[in-house]
Formats: sequence, C-alpha cells, structure tokens
Amino acid sequence: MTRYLHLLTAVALLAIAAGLLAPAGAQDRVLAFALDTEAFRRPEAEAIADNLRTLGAQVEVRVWERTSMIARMQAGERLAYMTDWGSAFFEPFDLAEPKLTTGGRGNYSFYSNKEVDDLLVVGSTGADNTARRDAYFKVQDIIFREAPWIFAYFRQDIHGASSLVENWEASMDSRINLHDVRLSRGGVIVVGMNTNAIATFDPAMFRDRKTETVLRNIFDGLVTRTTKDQVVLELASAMRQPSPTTYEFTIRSGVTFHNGDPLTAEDVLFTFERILKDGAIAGASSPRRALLGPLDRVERVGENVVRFTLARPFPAFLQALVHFQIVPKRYIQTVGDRAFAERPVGAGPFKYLAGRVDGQIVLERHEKYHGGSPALPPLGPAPLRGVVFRMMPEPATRVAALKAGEVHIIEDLPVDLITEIERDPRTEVKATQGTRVSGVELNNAKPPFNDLKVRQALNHAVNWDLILKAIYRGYGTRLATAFLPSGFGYNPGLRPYTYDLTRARALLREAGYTVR
Amino acid sequence: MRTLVLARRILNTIPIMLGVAVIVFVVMRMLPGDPVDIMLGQTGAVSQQDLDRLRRDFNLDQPLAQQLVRFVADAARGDFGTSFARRRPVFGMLVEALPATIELALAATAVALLVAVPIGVLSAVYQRSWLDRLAMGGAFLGISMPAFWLGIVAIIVFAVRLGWFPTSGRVGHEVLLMPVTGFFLIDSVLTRNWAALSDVMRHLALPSVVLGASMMAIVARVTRSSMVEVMREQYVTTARSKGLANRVVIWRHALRNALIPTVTVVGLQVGVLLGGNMIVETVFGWPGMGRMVVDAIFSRDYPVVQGAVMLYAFTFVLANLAVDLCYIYLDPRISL
Repeated sequence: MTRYLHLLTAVALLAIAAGLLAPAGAQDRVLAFALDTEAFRRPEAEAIADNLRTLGAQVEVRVWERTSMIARMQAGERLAYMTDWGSAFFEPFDLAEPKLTTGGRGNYSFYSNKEVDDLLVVGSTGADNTARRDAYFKVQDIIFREAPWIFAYFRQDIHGASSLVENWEASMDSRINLHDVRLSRGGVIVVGMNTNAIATFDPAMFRDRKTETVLRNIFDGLVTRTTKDQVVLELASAMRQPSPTTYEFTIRSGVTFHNGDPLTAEDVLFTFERILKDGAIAGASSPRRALLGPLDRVERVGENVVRFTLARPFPAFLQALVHFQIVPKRYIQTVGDRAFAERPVGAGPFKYLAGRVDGQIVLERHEKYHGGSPALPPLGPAPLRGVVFRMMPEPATRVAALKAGEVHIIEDLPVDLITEIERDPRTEVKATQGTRVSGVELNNAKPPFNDLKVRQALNHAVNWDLILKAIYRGYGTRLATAFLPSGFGYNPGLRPYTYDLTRARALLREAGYTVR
Repeated sequence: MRTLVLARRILNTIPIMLGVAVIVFVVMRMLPGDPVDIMLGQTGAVSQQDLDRLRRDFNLDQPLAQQLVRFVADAARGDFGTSFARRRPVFGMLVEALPATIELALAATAVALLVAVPIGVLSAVYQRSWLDRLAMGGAFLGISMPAFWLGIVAIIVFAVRLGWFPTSGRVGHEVLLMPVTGFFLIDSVLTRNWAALSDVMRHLALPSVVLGASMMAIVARVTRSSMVEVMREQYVTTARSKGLANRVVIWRHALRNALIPTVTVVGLQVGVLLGGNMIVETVFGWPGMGRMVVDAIFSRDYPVVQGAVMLYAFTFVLANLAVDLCYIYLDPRISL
C-alpha cells in the first residue's frame, strides 16, 4: 500500500513539475517551414536553418532543380525559397520592379502594396531625377520596414585569370572585354566560357549574358559601359537629349565593318528597326524588344545623326542601349539573316574567323578597328592577334584548363574552387561587384509569413556576416533591401537588419510563437 | 527469305519510333518550367506581349494534342522544328553535333574492345593467375567508378599534372582544320593535315578512355567467362588433338565462338555509351549531342530534346539490328 502511495506522490509531483514548465496559457505554436534552395546554395541554406533553429523554429532544407523550384514558387506552393536576381541595366527598376510590383512578373513573394507600385512607376518613368530618387528612397524605406523577404547580399562575379593576362578587369556586366588586353607571352587569348553553347552570332536574337560576352567583342554599340557602371560613347561621337523622350546620336565617321563596308546612320536605323518590327528576322521576332522599353521609332535627322523617340520618358534608356550592337545592313540584306548568324560581320575589335556556337569560336584582330570608346583608352586595334572562346560548362574542367595553361581567362569560379586558383602562383582570382541580388524570398500571402513580425524576426535572426565570410569567403556584400548600390536611387543611409537574436525572439513571441 | 525478315525488322522500327515520339513529347511537357520564361531569362523588362508573341512564334499557344500531331507529322518528314534557344532548325543542329558524338562513341568502343577482348581471352587462358586477378580487379574498378569522377581525375592527372593531353575540346585553336565530313579524324586524313590528326587524337584520348571504361570492364568480364566455357568444348579439344598451335586454337577457333555474348553486350552498351556521353561531353567540353541535350533539357528546348531522343532511339534500334547481323557472321546457325 505504501508503495502505491509513493508512486502516486511521484506521479503527482511529476505532474506539478510539468505544469510549472508549461504555465497556464502557454504558447505551443512552433514556427515550422521548409527552406527551398538550389544545390549550389545548400550550405548557405543550412546555415540559415541553423540560425533559425536556435530560436526554436523547425526548418528543413530542401534542394530543388532551378526551374522546378521556380515553377512551384510561382504556383504559390512553397513558403520560403532562396532566390537570386540579375539586373540587366544597373538601374533599380529591373530588379525592384519585377520583384516588388504587386502581381508583377517575378513577384514570387506575393507582396502587395499599392503605394510601392505607384512609387516604382514614378522612379522608372519620371523625367525629373530628384522626384525619381525620392520615390526610390521611399520604396526602400517601405520594403525595409515591411521586410517582404529576408534581405541578404549581392554576390560578386568571380573569374579566374592566368598571370600572363595583362590589363584585364572583370567588368560589372559580366562581359569579357578583350580589346585592351595583352598577354605577356603569345598573342592569342583563350577564354573558358561557363556554358554549353552561346545562343547565336546575331546580336538581335538572344537574351543571355554569355552570348553577349562573345558578341560584344565582335560588334560595337552606340554606347558602351566602363568596367564600373559608367555609360560612355562608342560608335556615337556625340549625344544630345533635347527632351526627356528624344535622344540624338551623331555616328562616328570612318568606322568600317569587318567586310570593309563603312558604318553609317543607315546601319543604325536598320539595327533597331530589325528589333522593333515583328517577324523582321527571317520570320522571327527579336526577343530583345522589351529591353528597349517604350522606344517608339528611330529616324535619321541629318547626314549622320539618328534620333530615337520614346513614347514616354525612360530614364534607363542609355543603360539599355549599351546592350544593343550595330549590324551591317548591306551585308545582311545580301546574304540573309540566317547566313549572317552563321558568319557574323560587325564593327568590333575582333572579327569572326571560324568555329561553332557550341564548341569553340575563333576570332582574329580587326586591323581597321576604329579604336573603341575614347573614354576607355588605349585606342586603336587590339594588341591581341586573336581570341578563342571555348565552351566549358563544367567548372572543375575550366579550373583544370586554367591551371594547365590551356585557357587564360575562365568565367564563373565556384566558391569552393577559389583556393585552388589563389594558391597557384600562375593564376589569380578576378572579382567584380556583381549585379545579382541574393536572399530568401518569403510567401507573403500565406501563414506564417503573412505576419510582418515573423518576417522582421527572420531578418534579425540570420547571421549574414558569418555566412558571407565562412561560405562565400568574403565575395558578397550585405544589402539593406533589393536595391543595388550601383544603381540609380540607392539609399546608402539604410543599414541592413542587424543580427540580433534578442530582438528576433521578442518579435516571434509577439507573433505568438514558442521561442527557445 | 533473309531479306524479307530483314525488311520486316526494319519496318518494325516505325511503331517503335512512333512510341518514342509520343513518350518524349509528353514527358518533356510534364517538366515544370515554361520554355518562354527560361528563354527570356530571370531579368526583368519583359512584357506580356513579348511572352505571347514568343509563344505564338513557337506554336506554344496551340492545344497540346495539336502540337503532338504536328510534331509527329513533321518528324516523319525529318523536320524536328526550330530550336527555341538557338532559333535554328533542330535537324541541322543534330546533324552538326552528331559526328562529334559518333566519333567519340566509336573511339570509346574501339579502345574498349582493343583492350578488353585480349585481356578477357588471356584471363580465361591463364585462369586464376596473377594476370587474371589483376585484370578482373581492374574490371571491377572500371564498372564501379562513375564517368564523371573518372573524367575529372583523368583531367587532373594526365592533363594538368603530367600535361600529356589537353583538358577539353575536340581540336586546338592553333590547328586549322577544314571540316569535310565533320569526323575530325577522317577530315584530317582527307585534307592530309597530319598536325591536325595528331592533335585530334590527343584530344580524343582521355574522353574516349573515360567513356569506354565501363564498357571495357564489362566486355573483359563477359569475354573471359564465355571463353572459359568455350575452352571446355569438345571442338577445342579436337582442334588441339589435330596438333594445331595453341595460338591458333585460342584466337581462331575458340574466340570466334566466345565472341557472341561479347557482341550482345557491346550492342547493349551502345545505349550506355549514348547516355554516358552526356556526362563525358560535359566534363571534357566536347561539342556533341550529349551536351546539347543536357543543355536543351535545362532550357526546356522541347524541339531539340525531342529530335535528339528520336535520333538516340533510332541509333539504338540500328545498333541492335547490327548486332543481329553480326551474329549471322559469327555463327551461321543463327538466323534472324
């Protein structure tokens, strides 16, 4: 009997103890979700999950193939996902606008805010730069406060180069400009490209940067960009903007295409008409049309002056124009669009010699090159005798080829191979401020992330500095929002969310979750 | 009679190819991801009109059934449509990429057979000797090592450390080779470009060994076991009792009969070669069909994947037919 009494007492004591541990009205809601990522960001996702687990959240990391993941994000099926976005124009509008506009293309966070929508329109279409800047500053304030996703960092573009390569800077638009490059031994530079194949040799028929990397060595545009983010004149010798919707360019004289034809205003008109008109390229339409924004028409207003008229102000127009290369009208009309795409003729520093878009492409120096942009000295024909672009989709192979001395520049060095290149005295790492914004997007339409406090808590809970240092070896820079420092209207005064577990715990508790 | 059977075998390929066409069409469209979205990239500045226009350009706005019928009808005429990504006729792209793939596959097969058959025979003849153990151990390794890993190790050891072979590509840029057939070995002989020939062979060495590794291992094992069996047959004893040299008995009498299972395995390995070349071509930057297909799958370039799979299937069917024809040569008792 006494034995049972003891047992009863023990049970009763245990019950009281349990009661003390969970006082009346205890919150037993646990923040639980899956964090989706592509394989290459898995270590980062695991680190984030670990950070959140210290708060008592249950986070499971799931690895996806990119397009599958995007398809499910778009369908609204997933809750939290690692995404990254590239900007084409170095303007906030093509990063922030698709990402933040309510219902916009790429608004995978399902964030919705009429005020932000209106401000973004002012920012991307206004003619008054002060008003535009104010609008963008306001947008940054709002999204910083509302934290529609876990803001993170922009990644640097990391390339590798042989120490034989002189005078080469990785450029911010991830193009590999070889006009001014020299080799301390040999005259032909070989570039290992991170792709299976470039799309085409026709500058009107692609939408990827790899193709542009090759083509901008064969073709020149009216304007180009420095390795930083300055737009400078290239084939244009002068630029005037008489009104917010008109731009006039004077075409440089004495420029010849690779086949000897002079480059005239006619070629410029032809280049843009080909893109503006539906079905103008062997029956197909240019996928680059939208990049020109509200460009309405292009016309000749003088012997060698061309006027671009826009339907409404488009402040990013010059930035966009950098990505459009001038093609030879007479040559294309003689041989046809298909043949042109096989054997391109441009006015750039190198001319096509041989090769295929999926193997290697061999270019040789254009001896009669006009010299390039005066803003980017030295001028004149390229010092290199030739250039070879070789398709090497496998990163380990690119690094091996660089170490073996077979290639001189390789694109896209994965973080785990950086040490290989740094350690080798014959090779070096070349990094540049990139244009890709990375972070964790949250589905704002669904619990738990429809709660502002939860989103803010997560922003305080992730130790980004440590992740950038440990996983990305310092090749990343924290951001306060989705705006890039290189773009117009970036607010440098906005500081990223601090790593503050106390604050994160408090916010989560306020949102009604159990916190450890 | 034999031609009739052969004709029937050839006619049989039609329903097979039709089945392949339907399956690849359906499976590709079950993959998530819109090709037009992928084509225009993840950057902004894309309008709805652009998306619609591209869909129209590529007939993606039509109902699926209609797209399927159109695809099958066009494919029957040898028209595989236009690549979404490169906007070129798929047929032309395939024809361009095919020689590189075939050259690599043939080289891999040649390397595999030249190494594996003698090793298999010697292992059988000197059963349980150190040579046998070494060869079969090697074969076990060959089967176990994934081509991807083997490729990277081969590059690091033989290309980077030792510098004997180039790391990737089909031919060096400093060698100008005039393409005639697209098969670089043949082209360099045709144009009498001996510098190119040696360069092409150096480029071919590593990928063909890596691609052929698993085939080499399997062939060696199969040849060995079938050789062991054949050596016990009475006609081998007869041949020996006639006083023929051991060399003649093994290589002429026994081997010919022992090769039948080997030929079967080689035929089946053609499929493995075609699959393996996607990996090997990616690792070695080899501009062939395998790499093109991998790329096309990721960019949801339906026409390219469809066309390539049809071609793969067709190659596979042809290879099987060729295997059957080889049987007849090796053993006249077998008929189709």
